Amino acid sequence: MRLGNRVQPWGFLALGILFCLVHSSGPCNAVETLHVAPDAIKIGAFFHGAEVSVSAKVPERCDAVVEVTGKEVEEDLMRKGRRWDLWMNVGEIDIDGAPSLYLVMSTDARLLDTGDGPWGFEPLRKRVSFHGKFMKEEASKLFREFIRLKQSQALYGMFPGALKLSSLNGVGTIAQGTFRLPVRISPGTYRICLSIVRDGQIAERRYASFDVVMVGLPAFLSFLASAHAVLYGSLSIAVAVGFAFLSGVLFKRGGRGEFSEKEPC
Amino acid sequence: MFWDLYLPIARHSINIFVLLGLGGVVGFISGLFGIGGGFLMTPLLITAGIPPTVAGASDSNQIVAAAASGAFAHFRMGNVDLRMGIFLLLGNWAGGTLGVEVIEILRASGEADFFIKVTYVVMLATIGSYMFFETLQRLRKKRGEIDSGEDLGRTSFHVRLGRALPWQIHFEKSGVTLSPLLPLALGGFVGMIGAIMGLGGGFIMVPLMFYMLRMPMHLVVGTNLFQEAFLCANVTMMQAATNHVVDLVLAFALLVGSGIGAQFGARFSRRLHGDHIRFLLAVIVLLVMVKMLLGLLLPPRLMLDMKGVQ
Repeated sequence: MRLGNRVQPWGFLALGILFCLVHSSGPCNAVETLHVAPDAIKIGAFFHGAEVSVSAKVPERCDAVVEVTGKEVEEDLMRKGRRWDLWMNVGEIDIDGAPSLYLVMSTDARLLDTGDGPWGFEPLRKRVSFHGKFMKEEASKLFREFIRLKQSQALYGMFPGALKLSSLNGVGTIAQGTFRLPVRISPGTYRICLSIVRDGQIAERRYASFDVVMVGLPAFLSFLASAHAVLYGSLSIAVAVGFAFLSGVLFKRGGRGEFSEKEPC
Repeated sequence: MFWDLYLPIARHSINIFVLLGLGGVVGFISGLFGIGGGFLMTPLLITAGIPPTVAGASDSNQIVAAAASGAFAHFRMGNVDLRMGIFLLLGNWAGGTLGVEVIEILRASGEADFFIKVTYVVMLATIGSYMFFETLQRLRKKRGEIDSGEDLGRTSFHVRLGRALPWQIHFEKSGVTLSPLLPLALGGFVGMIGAIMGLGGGFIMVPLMFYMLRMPMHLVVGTNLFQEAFLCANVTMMQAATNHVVDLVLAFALLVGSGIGAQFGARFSRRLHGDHIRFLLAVIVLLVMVKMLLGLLLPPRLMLDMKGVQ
């Protein structure tokens, strides 16, 4: 018993040291997790966008960048131009390889401001391809306009310095940020990538994801519109005609009447 | 934010009271002037962030309610010439089919947008100005005595044409005798223009029915609403079946507003003289024309836009 009583504290101490070694903040390549909350966003009847919080323990003297990316989609857009001095649509532009959503935030604003790093809109330029009638030298301008369009829809956004670092009472540093997901977001899986940066170099990358799912009435109508289009169309007309007659019956009290053929009342 | 309604096809959310208000105002205008109101509602929805294709298709769905509600109210008041309405509707369907082919040819040539926009502005300017000045003149001359176009240039070209065409029929309700080929041709023309421009074309049809078919204004309003309800039902079905762009939640919120608004509009129209209705419609048509013209002259905010934005 006495031996046991003397050994037990040492045992706990050894286990504690081992735990600390495994989970210590240490160098930048330490294995840590990336927390995302919530891990599923539900699009219901009153959905108006959502917030996703991201947090991760990062090593001392390191910066971090978090990117939220949707799957790559093909987009059909119209290009504006002048014909006979009048502004109008002058042709279709198809865009391949652009993510449906791209939001990025950093701890240090300079990481995104310079545009030299692997984050932000500039690196997207290499992934995106344009198809349609345009001159080769117009590609940059088209890309800028595409980004402006996406920013106006809140689907693309850069937030330099929006990822905050805070101390964990001397046991490390935590990076935290919140993304506002726009109401236009499509159902699907979205990837989150955390890049830990030390001395301007990426020391580590961590990944997580969250799902956006349609539920309830929106999910039912969306399914009906795509899987049973004729039934959906008939239902739409029936609802419209039904309401027209309902309002007609409700307002029947007005009775017969004629337009004034004389002076207005 | 509880009152923000999610629109599953548009993938957008809008405050329910905004939608009811929009529907109410456009429905009132629809019941008052006998037009569907698509030329007002669709741009407003696009401005509110709804994708253009969804805005147009869902608007057609709500016009079914507004037009049917207005037509129902006018029918009770005896303001619908069913016979004339059916001829117009047949012409409109045929013209719409032809218009779809024309727009395909124009798109292939790459000049569709230019043609559509310029035609639209010229047409709005011509119809709006003619209606504005003619009505103003009538209001100044003898206020309220005449409510039909019957007195306007009895021997004008289109009157002579209408009487020269074969199969003359007396439309008892409207009190006019003309060949059904005329309403068929007018319906065809408006249907083609409507298909090309993506609109029901009520604001073109109403003046044409008054000036070309010589129908009394109160019958013009009711009869146009009658045929527009059928037209928009057809468009709704086609858009739902082929493009899947009808948003029932959006349409329902709008049609609740417009169905009620149309009833008030139809009632209010009884308080107005036909000349006043045409004068107000002319002002709205001219305002829409000015807005479109500014859109053509001023540089756009973005040089790329979603497909479907005119």
